[in-house]
Parts: sequence; structure tokens; C-alpha cells
Amino acid sequence: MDGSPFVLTLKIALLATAFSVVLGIGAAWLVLRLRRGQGLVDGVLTLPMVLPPTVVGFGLLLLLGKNGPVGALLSRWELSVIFTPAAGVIASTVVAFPLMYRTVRGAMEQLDPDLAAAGCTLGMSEWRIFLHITLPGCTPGIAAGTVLAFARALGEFGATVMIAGNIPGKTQTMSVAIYSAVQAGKAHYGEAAVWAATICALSFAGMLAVNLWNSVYVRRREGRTR
Amino acid sequence: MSLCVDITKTLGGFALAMRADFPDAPTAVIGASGSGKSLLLRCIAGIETPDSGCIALGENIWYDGGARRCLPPQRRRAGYLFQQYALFETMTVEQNIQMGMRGTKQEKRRACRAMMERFQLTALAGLRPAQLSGGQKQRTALARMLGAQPEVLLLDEPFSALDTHLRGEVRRQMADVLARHAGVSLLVTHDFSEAVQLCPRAVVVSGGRIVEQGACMQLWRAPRTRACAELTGMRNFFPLPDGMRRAHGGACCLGIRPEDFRPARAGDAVRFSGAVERILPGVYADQAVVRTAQGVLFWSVPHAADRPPQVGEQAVLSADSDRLHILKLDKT
Repeated sequence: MDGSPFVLTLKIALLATAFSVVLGIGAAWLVLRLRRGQGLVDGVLTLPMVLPPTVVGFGLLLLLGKNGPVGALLSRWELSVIFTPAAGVIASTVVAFPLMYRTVRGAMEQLDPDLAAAGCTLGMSEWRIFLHITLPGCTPGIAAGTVLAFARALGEFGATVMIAGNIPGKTQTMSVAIYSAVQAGKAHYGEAAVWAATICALSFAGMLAVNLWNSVYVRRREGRTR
Repeated sequence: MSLCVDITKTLGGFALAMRADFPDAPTAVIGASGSGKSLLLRCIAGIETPDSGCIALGENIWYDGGARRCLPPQRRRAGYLFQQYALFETMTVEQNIQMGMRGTKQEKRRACRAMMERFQLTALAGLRPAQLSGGQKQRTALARMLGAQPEVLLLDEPFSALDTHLRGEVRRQMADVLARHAGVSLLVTHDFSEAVQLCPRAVVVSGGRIVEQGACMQLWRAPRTRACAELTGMRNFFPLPDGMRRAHGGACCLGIRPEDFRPARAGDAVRFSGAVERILPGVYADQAVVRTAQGVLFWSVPHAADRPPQVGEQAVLSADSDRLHILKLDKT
């Protein structure tokens, strides 16, 4: 059995999580500062979460494909992302991003607005307020969003298979490998089971790690030493 | 340098329209809850933006609705003490205080140490807000505010979150802060005794407007509006009896403090008679509740009174003529 889907999936999931974290926090911060059109922007950003992954994949295919606007731009430098691992990262990011955005936005809304106001009157710049007050204030939300995004990216199937394809050793991730193995017949069920178990274990470990971290964090924040 | 405020703002059905000049001395902003006193402070600090008008500290214009000029809070140098302190939970006491300071790391550390010394926080430097008592939180918030070297102090109900036994100590500290501050300071409160202790002047706020202003003792001695009378502890209000002059235009009422009632004497024009319904015991004086034809009244009877009233007894009460206050009803 080839171990490449494991390595590839981990790489894609970690990269996609990293992008989701940065983009999700930025988007949440920006959307909450919008004076108007908040609902509209929010709807667009959340859409990938509620749409079937195949619809997202189809949309990305149109966008990134040779004749799509982004694809055409990339082909000027002889670049193409379709059916490459990069496409897997893009698909996972788009699908995982809303989970991060939503969770962080909720955490930011829960923050006492007087804290930012206090920062202002103390002369802190918007950026310092974001860095020292907003961000630390929603750390538990960021952690929760990260786990959700990671788990989602780890198991991404629909959009991935449409734009990254199913090329063994190149773009075949674990969830795609499960599908292939099952398609190949009962003889390959064992292989599917290994990948399935691996995904379960990784997701579960992620959840556990964050829960553990969270309880330590809360204790530290409240200043209890033990 | 005086702080000149003339603003309007509507916020969710509440209309604020205030105009006042605050001199270089502590001024109390007294008002019932929901009267708009906190909103006034937030507009001055720049946390809320008024709809129109202007705010200026001396020559320095902070807000001008006409010219669409609005200085961000960061550049107003107005220190704000929040009702619930708004301490940064993820930081230690020391880090909280340093947040508003400018300068190099060493300068900040030195200034912070001096500030912690002044507010008896040195031993608590490494603790987080969740580990502090109410009084310690307040001292941290004060130190943090003063660390930013504000020109104007805005104190939003600084004692409301504290237990009664802590207030005395914290008031002493606040009196010290106000005395050492050279510029304008505003202290929002609904407690008149707090205002008297800490500020020579006060403005009275009711329904989003400033209805009265002046020296605290003057406001207590001769309130002109019912709102001011209520806030300074007056409890008895009656329709103006026939024959009493109407000092002000508009609707007026008669106000009498519970402690100003005395048994009526010959020659008293204004009398209230009725049965004593109940005696409410107090520490220094009992309150007699008397049901009269003009309504229920509260009569404060000192423990040393010669002949305290009994429940069920008839009482005929009056007050010296300089203790009968004709009050303008501010609800117009």
C-alpha cells in the first residue's frame, strides 16, 4: 500500500487550515467593521459552507480552468493549477474558510465593545487594539475554528475531486483514496478502512488537543496556577 | 482651558441635546439611569459620534458636525474610566497599565512602577484582572487611565460596581486623583452625596438635556427643577397650592424635603394634614408615612424628637417658607 495519500492529505489540510485561519480572522474583522452590506457579504462568505461541495468544485473549475478568468491569467505565465496539489489546497481552503470565519466572527461579537473603546481612549492604534485586545480576546474561538477548519480540510472530497482530480501519487488524498478503493471492489476494502481510520484518528486527536489546550488556557487566564 | 460641548444625538429613540461649558475643575454629571449622562461622556471621549454640534477643548476642536471634523478618540487625550472598568483580561495588572503609556520600554516600566506605587498595586503587578477584588480592579483602571496622561478625565459611575464598605476608601482615592488633575474632569453619578464630596460643581441631566447647573450646595439648597430636586433627595411633590406665586413659566409643583417638615404653627399658609400610616425606622431618623388629601408624604423624624408621632395619629405638618420649593416640571 502506498502511503502518499497520507502525506499529501496532511500537507493539504495544514496549508488549507493556515490560509483559512488568516483569511477567516481578517474577514471576520473586516465584516464587523462594515457600515452597510454586512448581511450580503456575510452570505457570500458563508455560501461555500452550505453549498454541496460539487457545486463549489464546479464553480472553482469555471474560475480556475484554462478558459476561466483566473485560469487565463495564470496561463500567461504558463501556470495551471487544475489537477495539481495546489488545486487541492484551494478546494480545501474555500470549503474550510467559512467555518473559521463564522466561529471567529461569533467570538468577536461576544467581546465587550468597551474593551476596544478603552483601547481607543488609551491612544492605542486600531492595529494594536486588534493585536493586543481583539485577537487575545477571541483566542478560544480561533482555536475552535481552527479545529473545525482542519477537520473539514482533512476530509474534503467533492470539490477536491473535481478540481484536483484523483491522480495516485500526485493529487490523490485519503478521502479520494477511500472512494477509489471502494470503487475497485471488495478486495480493496481493507485499504479504504485504513484511510478511514486514519482520518477518524487525526480529526479526533485535533479535537482532543484543542479541548485540552482550552482548559489549560482558561485556567491560565483566570490566573489559577493549578 | 474649558471643555465646550454643544451636541445632539439620537440613539434608538432616545434624543440627546446638551449644551454646557465645563471649566478646569471637577464637575459632577448627575442624572437618573437612562437620562443620557453616560452617552454624553461617550460622545466627549469619541466612542460615539454625535449627529451634529461641536465639542472643543479650549482652541482644540474635537468634533465639528458642520465641518465634518471628528477627531478619533486616540487624539483627544480624554481618559475614560469605565463603569465595569473594561480591564484587558488577558493581560496582567502591569501590562494593563503600560498599554496607554508612550515612550521606550524603560520609560514605560519606570512610569508604570511609579503608578503602581501610587495606587498600591506593586504587589499585584503579575496578577490578572480575574484575580483582583473590586477595589483593586478600580485602582488598576485608574492607574491605566492616568498612565496615558489624559488632559480630560471622564469617570463613568466609578463607584457603582463596588460594595458599600469599599466606597469610602475609593472615594478618598478619587478625591486625590481629582485634586491632582489640572484639567477638566467629569464624574457621572446618580448619587448626590458622591457629587458633593468630590465636585464643587454639578450639571443635572434629565431626558437627554441639561436642566440645571451650578454649585452642588446651591443645587441642594435651591433646586429649580423637579429632576434636580429628586436627585438631591427630595421626596415630596405636590400640586402648587392656590395663591403660591409661579416663579417660572410653565408647569410647576411644590417640593418639600422629608427633613424640612415640622408640626404646623399658627400663620403657616401651606398645611398638610392626615393620618400617620406607618413608621419606617432609620439609622439617624425614622420616616413617618402620612396619608394626606394631597397624597402620601414622607416626614423624616429625628430620633431626638420631643414627641415622636405614633401610627394612627393625626398630624398637621408644614415647613418654613424658605423650605418650600417651587419646581419646574422638566417634562414639557
